Formats: sequence, C-alpha cells, structure tokens
Amino acid sequence: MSGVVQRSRHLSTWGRDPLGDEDPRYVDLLVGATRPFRGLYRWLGVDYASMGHLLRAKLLLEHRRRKRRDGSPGLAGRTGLALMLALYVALGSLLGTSAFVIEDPGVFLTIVASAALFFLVLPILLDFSSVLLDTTDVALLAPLPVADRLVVAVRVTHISLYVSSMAASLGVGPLILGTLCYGSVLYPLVLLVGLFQMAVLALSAVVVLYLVALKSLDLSRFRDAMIYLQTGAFLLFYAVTQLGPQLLVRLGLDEWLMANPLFLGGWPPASVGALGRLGLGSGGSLDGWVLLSGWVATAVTVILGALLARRGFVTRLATMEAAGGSPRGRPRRRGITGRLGARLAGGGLERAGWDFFIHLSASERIFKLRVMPLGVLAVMPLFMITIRSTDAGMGPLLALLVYLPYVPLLIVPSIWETGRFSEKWEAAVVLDILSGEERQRFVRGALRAVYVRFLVLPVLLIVSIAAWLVEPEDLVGLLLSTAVALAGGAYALPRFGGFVPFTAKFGASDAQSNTVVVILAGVVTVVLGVAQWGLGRIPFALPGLAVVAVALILPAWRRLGRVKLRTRGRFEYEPY
Amino acid sequence: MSADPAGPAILCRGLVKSFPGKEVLRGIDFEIERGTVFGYIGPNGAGKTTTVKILAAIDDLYQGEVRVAGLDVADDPREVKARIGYVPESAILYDGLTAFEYLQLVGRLHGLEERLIERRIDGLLEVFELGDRAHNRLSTYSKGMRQKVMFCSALLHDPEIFFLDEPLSGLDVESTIFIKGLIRALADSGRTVLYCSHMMDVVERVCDRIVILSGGVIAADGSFEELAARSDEASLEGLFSEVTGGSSPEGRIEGLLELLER
Repeated sequence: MSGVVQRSRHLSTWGRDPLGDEDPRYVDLLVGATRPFRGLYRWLGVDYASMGHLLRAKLLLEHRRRKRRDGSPGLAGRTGLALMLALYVALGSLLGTSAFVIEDPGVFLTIVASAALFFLVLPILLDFSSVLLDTTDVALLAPLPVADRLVVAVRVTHISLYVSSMAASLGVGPLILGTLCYGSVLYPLVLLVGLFQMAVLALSAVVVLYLVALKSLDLSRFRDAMIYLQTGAFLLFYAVTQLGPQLLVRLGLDEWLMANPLFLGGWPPASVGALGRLGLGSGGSLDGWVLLSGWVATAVTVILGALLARRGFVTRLATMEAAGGSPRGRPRRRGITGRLGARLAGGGLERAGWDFFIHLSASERIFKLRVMPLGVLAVMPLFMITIRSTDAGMGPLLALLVYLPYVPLLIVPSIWETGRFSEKWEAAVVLDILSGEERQRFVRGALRAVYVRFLVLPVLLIVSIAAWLVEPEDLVGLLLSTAVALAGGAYALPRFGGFVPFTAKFGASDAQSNTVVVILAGVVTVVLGVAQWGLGRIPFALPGLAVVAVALILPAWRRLGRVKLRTRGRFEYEPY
Repeated sequence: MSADPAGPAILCRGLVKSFPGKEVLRGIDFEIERGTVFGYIGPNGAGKTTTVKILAAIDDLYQGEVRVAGLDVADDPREVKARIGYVPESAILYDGLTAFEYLQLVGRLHGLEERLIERRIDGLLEVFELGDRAHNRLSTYSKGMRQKVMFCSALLHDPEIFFLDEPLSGLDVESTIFIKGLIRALADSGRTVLYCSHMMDVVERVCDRIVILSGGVIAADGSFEELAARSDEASLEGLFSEVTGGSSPEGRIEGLLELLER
C-alpha cells in the first residue's frame, strides 16, 4: 500500500466520509454462503470469482444505503422484510396444521411445495423483477468485460438471498408440525430439499420469463409491455395454482388424478411429495417417475435461463435505458384527477405536489410495474374467500361485494410507499430549492392526490357497481365499508408519509412491500368483513356506525394535510 | 496483444444505426491507425456517442462491420471490452463505494492480480490528485473528481485503445491541461485514442486526424492542416460551422435578447 493511501486512512480525519464504517461481517458471510454452489456457477458458465466480487459490492451498497435510511417510515427495507418473513412463518404454520388431518406425508409435502411455489413466485414476479431488470448500473457495467451471464447470476443470487429466507420462513411450520405428525428423521431433510427445489424453480422460471421478454419485445416499448406481461403472467400463474385445483375438485378430476399419478409428473411440486413417499418407505411404482420429471423440469428451467442469459442482457438493458419510456405521440390529456386537483388541492405548492405525483405516477416505471398488478391482485383473495364462503353456505355470493371497499383502503399505503421510488431519483435534487415548510405543503398535495386517485375514485367505482348488484338491505353495510375506507384511508395515509415522493433509489431490500400488502389485504379484509357481518346482527349497529364513519370523512380529509416530513437525516434523493 | 497487430486499431465500415423513426448513423466508414489521436466531432445529436457505444461493444444493435483491436465487436464483445478504456461524459459510479473500493472492483472484473490492482490504484489516485480521498465514498466527490475516477478506471488495466467521450467535462483548468498532455502521451506510446469533444481548441491541438460528423454521415475527414487547406477558415471552430452548416451565433443571440425584452 502506498504512503498516500496509508496517510488518508490514518491521518486525514477532516476528509473522511462521515458515513464511513467497517464492512459488515454479514456481507462476507452471505458471499461465502454461495461457495458450496461454485461448481454450479461454473457449470452454468459463470466466473465464480467475478460473481463474488460484484455480489459483495452490491451487498455492501445495499447495507450502506439501508443504514442511511434507518428510521425512515414505511414498509420498505428492514421493516418490510421482517413483516414479510413473519407473515410467511404464519402462513407456513397455518399450512402445517393440515399435517394433523392428512395421513399421507406425500400429499402433505405436495401441498406444502405447491404453496411454497406460489408464495415464492409471487414476490419474485411482483417485487424483485425491478431488481433483475434494474438499469441504473448497466451504464457502469456495460463497458467492462463482464459476461452477461455473470450480471444475471449476480442479480439472481442477490434476489435468491431474500427468496431463500422466505422459503425458510414458510418451511418453519411444516417442518415442526410435519415432524411431529409423521415422526421420521428423513422428513425434515425431504422438506428442506423440496423447498430448495421450489425456490430454484420459482426463481429460474421468472428469470426465463423476463429474459424471453427482453429478447423478444420491442425495447423502446419494453417498459410498458412489462407491466402487462407481469400482470398477465401472475394472473395465469394464479389461475393454474389457485383456481386450477378448485376446478379439478369441482369437476371431480382430483380423485382421478390421485388414481393416475403418472400425470402428476407434469406438476413439479408433486415431485417433493414423491420424494417424501420414497424417502419414508411408502413409495409407489410411479413415484420415481414423478420425482424424476419434477427434477428434470427444474433443471431444464435453470439451463434455459443460463442459455438465455448467455448474451445480450446488459446491452439490451442499456438499449432499453437509452430508449426511455414509451413514446408519446400527443400530450397527455388532463384526466379526472388532474381536474380535481384544481378544486381539491390548496395553494400553489400543494397543487404542484398533486400534479407532480399524478404526472410521475403515469410514467414512472417502478411505480407502474409495482402498482398496476396490485389492484388486480389485492382483489384475488376476496374472490377466493367468496368462492370458499359460498361453498360453505355462508350466504349469497354477491353480499360479499359489501366488503370490497376495504381492499383499496388496504393497498393504498403500499401505493404511496411505492411512490417514493424512482429510476431518476437524482432528478429530485430540484426540490432542494424548497424550504422545510414548503416541502411539507408539496408532499401534502402529493398525498392528497394519492388519496383521491387511488382510494376515493376506485372506492366510488366499486360502490357504484356493488350498489346495483347487492340486495337493498345490504346498502347500509356498503355505506359503512365505504365510509370506513374513505375516513380510515385519510387517517392512515399520513402515518406512511415521511418522505418526498419519487426521490429514492429502489433496491432489492425495498422489494417486499407488494407481497406483504397483497397477503395483508386478504387477511385484513376477511377480518373486517367478518367483524362487519357480526355487527350486522346487532340492531342499529350498522346504520349508527355508518353515520359516525361518514361524519369522520371531512375531518379525516383535513387531517390528511397534516403530514409530517422527516427532518433528521438526509433526503432520499441523495444516491445510496 | 491484438488479434491483428498489423491492422488498424479501429475499423468502421458501412455503420448504420437507427432508433425508432430516426436513422442516426447513415453509413459511417473510417479506419484509425494505431498510436494516433482521432478527433470525432459533430453537433449535438450527430451520433458521436452512439458511434462510441457501438465501438465499445455497449450497443449491439447496428448494421455494418466494426472491428476494434482487430476483433469483430459483434463476435467478441467481451474481449473488445478488455482491450479498451472508456471515459463517458458523465461519470457513472457506484456512489456508495469509496474510490478505492470502486477501482478495486473494476480491476478485479478485469481479472488483474490483487497486488497489481492495489499498486495501480495507489499510483493512479496519486497522479490524479485523489490520494487523500481514496477512502471517501464517491457520493462525496465533485463532478470533476468523479471524472478523474473514470480516467483511473479506464487506465487501470492498461488498455491499448481509449474511447474518450467529452472527458474534460467538469474538470478544472489544471486537470484539463494534464489530460490534454496525457492524451498526447498515450498516443505517442503506441496507444490509440478516439476523442469526442466540443472543445475545438483541444481537438485542434491534440488530434492527428479529425472527422466531422453531420446528419449521420462524415462531412469532413483529415488532419487539421488538411481540413484548413480546403477552406478559408483558419480555426477548427470556423471550419466546423462551415461544414455542419450551423447558423450564425450573432443572429441567434440577437433574437434571444429580443425575446427577453418582449
């Protein structure tokens, strides 16, 4: 080491980066955790040493960025991850209880593996795609002699660190409860192998989907196309994994399928069940075939991903970045929210904040990628509940529309949260001209725009449809859920609002909030729905509460303006 | 070592590049000899950066034949990248890393030995007067300092060809003088430099050959002396305006002042 560098390390205290700190040990531990797979990396044509260097840099950057953001409000970062892992432990535990009623460990393992595949594809498709297709550092990597496969491998490995923690959380319940019920020492091993296989399959399947899209779609319109692709892919996946089994049961094909396990070979999670049966000594003649076909499907997906990543990934991302967003042939029309801004937003700065959010939310890729499928997905659990509750004879199907306004209420904080990120976050340096009070007014306008655009308008749309469909006696319930959603949203939103929108860089550690919200939306909607259904049994409870909730809307709207911005620390537009 | 040591450092034949609705490069042909400084100039949007990105194997969607260091860019982009140093107009860096960490990463991705990396980083940062800031995060660096880090990054693996796209952006006077000398010295030591700039006086002084790009085609090609001999203009600035057909700045300034007064 030269004298110059040594001098700077030991003597130059004034010039030292005030954020400087020792490298965290966990970064090296995580990079080290990939060592057992170095043979796999080499087999896939990835230079393991370079992969380690780049991954280490990425993790270090993430650590430093997260450290700077510590204490910031919202679902992103550590809070989001912790919440998501807790949810996954809860979901896994709920799933694990079925071990008490399912005698065949093979069937139980197949159900656990299917659920794992679903709950792992969900965040990868919804949340981590932004990490895989991140264009912010392609300009930095593009001139370096870095293989495309290497860049893909680093990103996939980076995502897989999160995915593996999710798989592990999901596995806790089935591991404990399954071991108790089936009492075999081999069972935990089979479960771990199965969860690992599902994580690899989920990750590589989504990677293949995106790489095919990147190769085949017009790059100048790729950003817009991705939003539809992502939503479409999720709907398809949802239909196959969630509605498909129900359809099989309704058509009576489930029993036939169990009697003809040959066809289970087409469903990779069934291979985990087959492994379980073979491992626990109860395997049938076709279990070997099901196991083999599941493993082959997983391996083929991985190899296909490696082949697709062979060339062109970085240059295509660079081209996509250079191409910008979708070309606009004519100026965007001022929509209903823009017109409402003139009436509902207060002074100049509040109006500016309103327009800022509305305009950027229409063109920001991260925002569109994450928010657009959210509306569709959040309603999904409600449909599931509707089908199940109708099966259980809980009442007429359409009556459940009464509780639909709760769904936008639950997803709107996530929309606001997502709105903090931008691909061009540095551009927000322009907001530095605003003083603290002015910035607060600006954010107030943005927050009100979110409230109107993503809560009030969708709720009113839902209500106007539902009001035509439900029975007249359900209208009071519908009024209550609507008023609770509108008042509740206005009270809840400022609690998430300590940041300036579109000023933060999006990273892997911020990528859990969508999945958390989708799951929470399902769970909380059921809780609220059941509570309201119960209240409906008490005379005058619903009309009384509805009156109170309606009366709360106006004060809540006023309160929405009292957003408090974080004053300590740095603003988010500072890179990393 | 290059694949074809006797051939030109850079060869560009029939290069065409289109973006949706616009053809940016409409058949560019040139060869650049080794050990020369090649000035590649043109108005904004003429296609200079696009050409550089294609030559540096960053953009692979083009038509035509492009060879760098004797290698076909389309066939062997990684090997091409290993032999070039690239300095863009705006330094794009991992801002959360220190200069030392960033350059160490670049050196490792180039496959250099650890000891060589450390020795070169120390030396380069000292030469570029960044030694005392080596362990500060890049987010705390000024634009000029970031540009210097880009130079360090481009020089770290001792490439044979340099692509410098407006490299003096943000640099102070002293650093600009240093870089001008460096460009000349690199060429004199057998390395090749493709230099894009709007600073005509620098181009005039350091380049062995100048190509003026206009409307996606080469409008003029030769040494400054050759170009000047074909024109009445004595400076490259005047020559540039003549070749690219730029309107008179005096008239535009007058119009602007009128606009402000209205």
